[in-house]
Amino acid sequence: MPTAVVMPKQGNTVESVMIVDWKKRVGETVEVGDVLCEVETDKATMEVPSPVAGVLLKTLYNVGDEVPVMTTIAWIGEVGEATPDGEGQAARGEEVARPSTAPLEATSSAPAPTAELRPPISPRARRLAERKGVDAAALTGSGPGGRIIERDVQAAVAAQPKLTPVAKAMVAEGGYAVPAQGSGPGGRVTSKDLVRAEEQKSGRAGEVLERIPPAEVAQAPVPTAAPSPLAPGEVEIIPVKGVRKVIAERMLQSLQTTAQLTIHASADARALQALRKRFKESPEAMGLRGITINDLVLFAVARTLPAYPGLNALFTGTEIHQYRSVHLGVAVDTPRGLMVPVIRAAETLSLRRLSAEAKRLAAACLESKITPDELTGGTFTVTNLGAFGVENFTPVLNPPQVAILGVCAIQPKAVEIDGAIQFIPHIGLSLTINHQVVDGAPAARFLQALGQAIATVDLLLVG
Amino acid sequence: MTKAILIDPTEMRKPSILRGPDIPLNQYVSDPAAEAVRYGREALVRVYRDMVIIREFETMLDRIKKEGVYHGIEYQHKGPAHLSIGQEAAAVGQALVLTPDDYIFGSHRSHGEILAKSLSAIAQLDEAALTQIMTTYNEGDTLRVVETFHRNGGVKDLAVDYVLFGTLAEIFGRFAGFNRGMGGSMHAFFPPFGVMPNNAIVGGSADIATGAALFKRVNRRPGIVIANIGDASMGCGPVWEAMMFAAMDQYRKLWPPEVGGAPPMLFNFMNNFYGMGGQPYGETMGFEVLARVGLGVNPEAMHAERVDGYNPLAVADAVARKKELLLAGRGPALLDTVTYRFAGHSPSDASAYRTKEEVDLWRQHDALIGYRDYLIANGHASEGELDAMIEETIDRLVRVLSAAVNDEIAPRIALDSEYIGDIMFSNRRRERYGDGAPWVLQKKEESRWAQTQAKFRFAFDENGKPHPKLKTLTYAEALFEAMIEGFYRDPTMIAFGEENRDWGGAFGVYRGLTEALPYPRLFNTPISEGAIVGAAVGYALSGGRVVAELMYCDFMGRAGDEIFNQMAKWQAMSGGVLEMPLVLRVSVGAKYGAQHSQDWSAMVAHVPGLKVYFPATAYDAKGMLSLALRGSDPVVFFESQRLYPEPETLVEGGVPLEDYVVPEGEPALRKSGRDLTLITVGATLYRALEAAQVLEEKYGVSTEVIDARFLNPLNYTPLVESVKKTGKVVLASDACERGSFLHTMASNLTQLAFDYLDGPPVVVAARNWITPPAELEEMFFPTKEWIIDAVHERILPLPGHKPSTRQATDEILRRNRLGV
Repeated sequence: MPTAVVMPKQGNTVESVMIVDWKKRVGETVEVGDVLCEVETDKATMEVPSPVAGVLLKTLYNVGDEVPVMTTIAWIGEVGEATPDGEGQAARGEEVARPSTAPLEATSSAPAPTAELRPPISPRARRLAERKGVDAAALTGSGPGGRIIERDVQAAVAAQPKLTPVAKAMVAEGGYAVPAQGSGPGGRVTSKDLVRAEEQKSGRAGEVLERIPPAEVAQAPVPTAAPSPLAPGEVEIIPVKGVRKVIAERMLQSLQTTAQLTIHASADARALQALRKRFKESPEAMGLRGITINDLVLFAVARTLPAYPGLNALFTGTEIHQYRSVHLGVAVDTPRGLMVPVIRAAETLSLRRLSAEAKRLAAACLESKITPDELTGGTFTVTNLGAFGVENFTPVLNPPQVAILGVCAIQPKAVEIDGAIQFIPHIGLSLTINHQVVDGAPAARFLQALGQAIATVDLLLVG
Repeated sequence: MTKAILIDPTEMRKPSILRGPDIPLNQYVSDPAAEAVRYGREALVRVYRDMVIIREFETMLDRIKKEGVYHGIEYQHKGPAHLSIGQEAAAVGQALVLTPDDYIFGSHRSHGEILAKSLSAIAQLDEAALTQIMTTYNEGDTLRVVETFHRNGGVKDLAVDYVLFGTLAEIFGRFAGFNRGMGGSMHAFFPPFGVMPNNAIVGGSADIATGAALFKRVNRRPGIVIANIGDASMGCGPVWEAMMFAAMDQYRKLWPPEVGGAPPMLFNFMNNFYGMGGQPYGETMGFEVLARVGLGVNPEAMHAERVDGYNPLAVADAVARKKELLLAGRGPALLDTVTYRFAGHSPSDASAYRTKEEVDLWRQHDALIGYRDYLIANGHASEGELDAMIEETIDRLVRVLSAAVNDEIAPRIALDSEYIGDIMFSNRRRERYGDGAPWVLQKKEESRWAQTQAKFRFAFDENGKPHPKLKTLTYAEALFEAMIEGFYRDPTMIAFGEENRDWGGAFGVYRGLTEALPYPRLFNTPISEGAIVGAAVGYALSGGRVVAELMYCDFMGRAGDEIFNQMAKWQAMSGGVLEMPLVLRVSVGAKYGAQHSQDWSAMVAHVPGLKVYFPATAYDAKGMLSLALRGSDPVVFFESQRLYPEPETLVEGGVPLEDYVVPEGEPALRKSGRDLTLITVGATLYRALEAAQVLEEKYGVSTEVIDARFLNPLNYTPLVESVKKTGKVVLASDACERGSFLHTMASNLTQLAFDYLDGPPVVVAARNWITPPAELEEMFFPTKEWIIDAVHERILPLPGHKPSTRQATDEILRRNRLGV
């Protein structure tokens, strides 16, 4: 009896995915865990591993097909075995000849094996690590020959902070490593902490936010008349699919369905720059060197927004949902397009943690390890083009959110102080609101308050 | 009491000459007139018919094996066929004077004996009895097939078809065969006609038949027992052991006269002069005349004589005379029945060891010619009548063969069937195998039982203070209580072994039973481990409960065939017809060096068909022996000599006064823990408990200790649950490491709990050495330190622990490389 490959539910909110690429062909032999296909949700790319070893007998969807989760996408069994729908004896005849080349391709493109570098770990320890969300690879084994054994994992678990119920459930389902510290009440690890920790495995939470680039809206193609025929190679034709397709739809939908108004202001950036300088010069052990200007702005936004619930809100069309907690979307540029992971309960995070979380999410987006759940649930978004010298722009709303802040370059601004003109560095701020539900004055008041918070961000840190 | 037998030095040192009785050789003189009166015409003619049936039956098999066809019926038979063509007169002559109550046990070459004895029984039994047997045996399955091809000729004629078909279907492995196809050519048998198991181990029937004869004698059952074994089996130790066992003086000198004397045992050597290709006469043996051996066994020389096996009436006469003296308790008897097989040992026999001239000479003596002439010459039958018998036999065999090769009406069990698993054990609970009051010499209340019952049942008083040892029930006494309960419950139950009576067994387990039981129920045997177990097998499969004892586990080697091939297999080889209520008590020694200190539990656990128990506490000693003594299966019951003097220290409440049974196959949790599981078999339990204490107190490792106590059957579920909980498991016993049953357990646990394991299951076992002197045993048997060091080296390094013994895995490589 062949085994059905069921499209896993990739997150609580994901109802369907799109097949991006089949990594295995019908007739090819697969092992447990081999990647069968790559799929994308509205925000992330995921790999679907084979649940069993066998021969890929039949695939039920083609590349580009949208597949509801929890449905069968393929059958794996033995050569010649009939699939339950009576079709797809694909492993016979001509198709069975294909594997002679396919495995070679797979091998050539596979990353160098790293198995021998993994420390030995007992089955029990591995199981416990998975269940408790401990990253076993990071542990030092105390068993014979350095084997990671149960007590090593238990020690790591003991060092973990407590988990929120949701986080516990997520860990129990597997796939999440518990971070050393939690951001929840009493230091509890929350679901988003888990998500972040998962991404830290990549070890690449770098300076990505420094080069956060434009929202794609600026480059959205304008439909034009078909160009005159060109010689081959003159134009590269890129199918719009996956993330790009989602972005294209979302951006257009955003502009078509909301009343967007952008207002601009700037804020004294001396405190930002001074703090950034001090962070850079701080002892490495303090772990502050990675905190960026953008992190400071995010921090100021997170601490200012709670006083302006009208902007920290979602508009459903019939209701306005104002949030007490700030779930801060952060735009990240990736090769596959714009992604907006969400920092949950950002107002509760210290600057250090906020910075770390922003870096983790950015890295996750770049490595396609971000989960659909990490890409949803934002109540306000910050996008930053300042690194490119952009002086002001009109960020496009991320519905159903009602506001998005664009962070621009820092530039000297002539300011009159005590009758004298001084050039004081200011950072540009562009706030787009949905004028359907947010009036101009409250938006301006928020922007003003944010500017003051940024100007005195060093004091804000104390609070 | 053996004290009653004086060994007088004056007598023993007196010069004299030992003279034995004369051994008659072929002394039978034919007297046709007397024979006609003695047997009657009908029986005399039937002798010829039965010889014809056997000859044709074997010829049919010969054709099938060599040519694949018999009278147009094609068939390929994959199994063996050791044919007795030429030996018909010996079988039919013997059967002529036997009743269905008489048992015959045979060899690999016993088709003729099966048929002869069955045809004789059919002639003697009335139609109602035959119908009863045929409709009930094998739930009537065999009869139902026979009825499809039988031509209406009355019940007796039906019974002839039935016997031929039941035997042939058995040879062909069919489910309707006499033993469900599980015995085959070399093992087929049919108890209702007194045809008992035929044995493919040369001489294997000798001690088993002796046990059956013992059963008849002790339980006052009618009939004699014959072991039909070959001349070459005289070279087999167990055959000699069986003769010694059967010839013990005590039957007539010490046993109560009302028992009736010696077991009615006839050792009948079918002397065809060849042991496959070796020739006992003139080549592989030195007795020249086989009957001479009787002179070496007892003053009566076993009433030995040579009889002409080519004259059925000479054989009948000899067997009748032996039967008479056997029934009178004057056995055992020995017959050297001269015969010859025309056929080879088997179809592959090229007869490289004998000349055609020799075979031709014997053909000139062929009993089917000689006896035919005798019948005609004396007017018992005409040529035409005798020829008609041959025709009728061929016609009958064609019908029988057609059915026996037919997969539709005589199928085998399906290849995916679990049927064999269902018959490996009979798994019945039997309080007693016989009716009536057990024969005892004392009331139980007057016996040693009253003393053991009065002892403290637990090692400690309510304050945890130990009771005086002499006043506390020991493991050995707990065994005694189970034994005496069995003796007073089941009238068929007997026990024997070396030093069992008077001494009470080398370790005193049976102390007090000598006073409570008459000789037939508890007696000493020769130092014949093979016959001890073999006779117990024969006793048990005849329908009696028996406890045999081997003084040391190491002596199992002396009883290898009886344990591995006989005790283990007869239930299944019988197709579920037989039960084997045999408990083999085996004492595992220590301190006595290399040949008295081995735990061979793995060997018996390896052989399918044996239940293997190994209690480690007084509570289990009684409860598990009580369980074994209520079962219907063969149990190898290991006991530890380290534990005989030990009271119950673990089971709260101690050893119950009353009789009780431990649930079969269930391991016992001796101590709960969270971090590590220690599983033990046997006395190592106590060292494991010591290790657990150190692990907990010194290293904080909460240790669970489980006493497997059963090797087979064994419920792994509680073991798996424990290992799933702790993730770490050490298995320990006193058995040598290589091939230890602990490795089987470790392997199963690995498969059943792999994902839960925090390290490999580790076996801590005795070294693969000889057992050294008692003073050096610490270097050989697992100790507390070995267990702790093994935990430290292989599973869970213990902070601050300094191993004092070598348990690291590199030792596994080194030791195996060296083979030690």
